[in-house]
Amino acid sequence: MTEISDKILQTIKEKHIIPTSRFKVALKNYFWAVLAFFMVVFGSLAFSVLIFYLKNEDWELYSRAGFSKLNFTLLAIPYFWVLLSLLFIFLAYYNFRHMKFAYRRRFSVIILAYFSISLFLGSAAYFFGAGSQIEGLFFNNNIVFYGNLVQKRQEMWNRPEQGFVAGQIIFVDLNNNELQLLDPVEKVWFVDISHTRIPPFVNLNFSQRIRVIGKIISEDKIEAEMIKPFFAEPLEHCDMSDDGDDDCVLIHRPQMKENIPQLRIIN
Amino acid sequence: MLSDESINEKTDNELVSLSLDNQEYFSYLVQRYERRLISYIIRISGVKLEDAEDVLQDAFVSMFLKLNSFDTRLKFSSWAYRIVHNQTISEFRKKKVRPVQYFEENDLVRLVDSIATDDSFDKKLLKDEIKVILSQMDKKYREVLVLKFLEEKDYNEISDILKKPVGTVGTLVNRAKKKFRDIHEKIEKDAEKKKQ
Repeated sequence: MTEISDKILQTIKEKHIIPTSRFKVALKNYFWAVLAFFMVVFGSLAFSVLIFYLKNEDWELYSRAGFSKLNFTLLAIPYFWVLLSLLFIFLAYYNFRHMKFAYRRRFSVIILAYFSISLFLGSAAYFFGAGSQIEGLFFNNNIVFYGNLVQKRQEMWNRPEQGFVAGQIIFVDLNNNELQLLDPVEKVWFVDISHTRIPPFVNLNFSQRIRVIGKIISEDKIEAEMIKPFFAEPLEHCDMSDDGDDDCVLIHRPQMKENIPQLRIIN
Repeated sequence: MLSDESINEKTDNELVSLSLDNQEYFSYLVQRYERRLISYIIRISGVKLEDAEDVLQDAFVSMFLKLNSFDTRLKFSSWAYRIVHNQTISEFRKKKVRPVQYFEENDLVRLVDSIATDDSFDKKLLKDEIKVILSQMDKKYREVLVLKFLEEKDYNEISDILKKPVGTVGTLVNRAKKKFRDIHEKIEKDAEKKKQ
């Protein structure tokens, strides 16, 4: 035995050093693997909302609303969800890096793989309706910062000078074919719906977010030509000619955001 | 305990398994690698032999503690080099000093012979010149040069030691060689200017 090996063995014996148990080692490895897995799942869900936003944007109406294509595209990008998706991809990478032999893969390969997996799983989640469900969940629960994103989108479609008004329904009077909308700057708009057909997938209920496209007839009144849901639906598989088609039911947001006055619905 | 002869026939992985049951076997692993690892510590840190032995001792104790996390898909030597490398770096971080490379004359000749593969390069560099060149190189380049040309590790082993992808190791080695030549050229030009 050499002097060094002797010293090392003595230290091990004197300090009663024993190897970390197999169980602890395995637990640590699984911990990072499970975390990496969850980050991929969360990232994919964030991707599904991102797809939901982009796919349901009203790309046909941007020129009528006075946007250039580039300007509209930049405004349409849901930055909150983009950042959230990227954050989860980064966290998945961070967790993956702690796994055995992960260092053998290049950074670009790992990121590209995570991006592809998130895109694939996110598309699948979107197909099964996760995107709209999660968006509704964030909106209804006033998730921090999320209001800003929605407000940005409301402002984007709230351009009265171009005949676009967006907001939440606070009053419905079907006898007089009139709605009242509260826009992002908390201005109340009277909407004349007598010259438009309400699509089956638009719910004229209290707290629904809608967009009105039409003609401004006075300072706070608009004559609607089109009523559109806040997101450019109809949803996939929706048969617009069939009023009873369940696929046309818009994502409902039954809860009111705070500080919107109570309303009455007159039938 | 097994006889010394049968111990010599055991592979590193077998000795790891035996060490988990009986710590006495761990000393045979230490004996197999201590000389190589001490010279590696000195090459990457420039510490004296006694200090290198202290670092090595800590590294082997740490290795014993982590013995269950040793994956047999990895070479034991790569794993040992990795732990020694990290232990050395961590010692210097604790002391808040920068490691200084120390190379024996023989090391320097080997290094230049390995880097200078073409005839345009003057292989008869002075020991001091090589030291100046190495001191001007980034740590990441010096590390790969030491592992590739002095420790004679292949790209896969370097990848496992430094925990970097094999492709990155290849790139680093090539860049390190180029840096070495570039710095040498610059020193030569500066020397010529001074003469004029």
